[in-house]
Amino acid sequence: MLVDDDVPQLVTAASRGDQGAWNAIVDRYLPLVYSVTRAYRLSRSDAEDVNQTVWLRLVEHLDHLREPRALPKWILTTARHECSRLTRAGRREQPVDPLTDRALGGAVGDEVVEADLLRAERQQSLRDGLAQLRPADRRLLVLLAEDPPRSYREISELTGMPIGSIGPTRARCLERLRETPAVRALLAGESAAAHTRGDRDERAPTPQRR
Amino acid sequence: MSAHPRPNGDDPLLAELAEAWSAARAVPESMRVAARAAFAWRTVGEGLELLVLAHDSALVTDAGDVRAAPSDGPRELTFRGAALSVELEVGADVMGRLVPPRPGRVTLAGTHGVLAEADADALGCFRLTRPDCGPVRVVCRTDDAAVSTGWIRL
Repeated sequence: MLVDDDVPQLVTAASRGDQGAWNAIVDRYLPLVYSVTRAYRLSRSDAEDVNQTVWLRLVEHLDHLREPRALPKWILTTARHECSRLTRAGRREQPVDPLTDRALGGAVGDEVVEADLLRAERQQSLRDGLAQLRPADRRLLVLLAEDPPRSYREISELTGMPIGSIGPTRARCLERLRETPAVRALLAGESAAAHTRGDRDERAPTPQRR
Repeated sequence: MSAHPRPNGDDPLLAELAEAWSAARAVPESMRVAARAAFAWRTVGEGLELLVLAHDSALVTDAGDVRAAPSDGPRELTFRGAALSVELEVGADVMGRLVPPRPGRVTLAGTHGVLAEADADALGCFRLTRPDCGPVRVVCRTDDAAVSTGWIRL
């Protein structure tokens, strides 16, 4: 995950006491924290606890965050620590399969959790990329990405764009999304990983690198 | 004629963007409220030295390996400060010790206020009732030091 240039400014402003900057940081990365709690299948109340803990820690940590670009990584790691500790504590009370040492009864495998965590990271990169676009581009892509999907007629009414130009504009917006620092880093990381299992230093160490 | 029954279905990037967007919209509002409200705690620790978490037995294994066997026995945490450190052992209760040993007053604070208080004896030992849930801080005051742990869940 790579952040655009406004995140360091938000971190600086927040550490000076700017609640608006803090809210912007929250809005940006709250979905990442939530996705991590979902990946670990936490109950709603555990997820609320983890969420609150992550943000309280970040408040404490703001002044010490020497490299604001490391913020998403810090958030991801802190959320993972809190979730995995809860999961392990829970497993102590669950029946465990003696052959595999895995919890029995409804627990998902670690590989499922890992896959969900990777997806959470990818989705954050895409939202970061969206934030790096011009507002008009962002607006169109958000309208196109809504669920359930809107018709081109509705989008035309909302944006004032002729129906016939939505398709070509959409293609150009997606191209620009691919060119944002966040999405370029994501795509580059993937092709590098596919070739060499290599240089993904923005991410947690993977077993292959040890 | 509707030529675009599913306008976002034909580009994988747009389809993934739609998933990312709907994941963001699924975040419960209560979590946003709590996250924004956390900022109010920015200045509350002023006058207290923030201790550094030096050891947490729950985190000694690599965070990436969720399958790592949990260590048996109670969770042990060490928070280190310049003049005063705090060791906690979290079992049914929270047993603690000030290092170097000295008497003091220990407060367990949650986001809604003080949850428990205890005196540390001459050896620096204290016992607190373990909180049910939620992030807490342990604040310790002695004759010459006032320190606080960071937010933790015990």
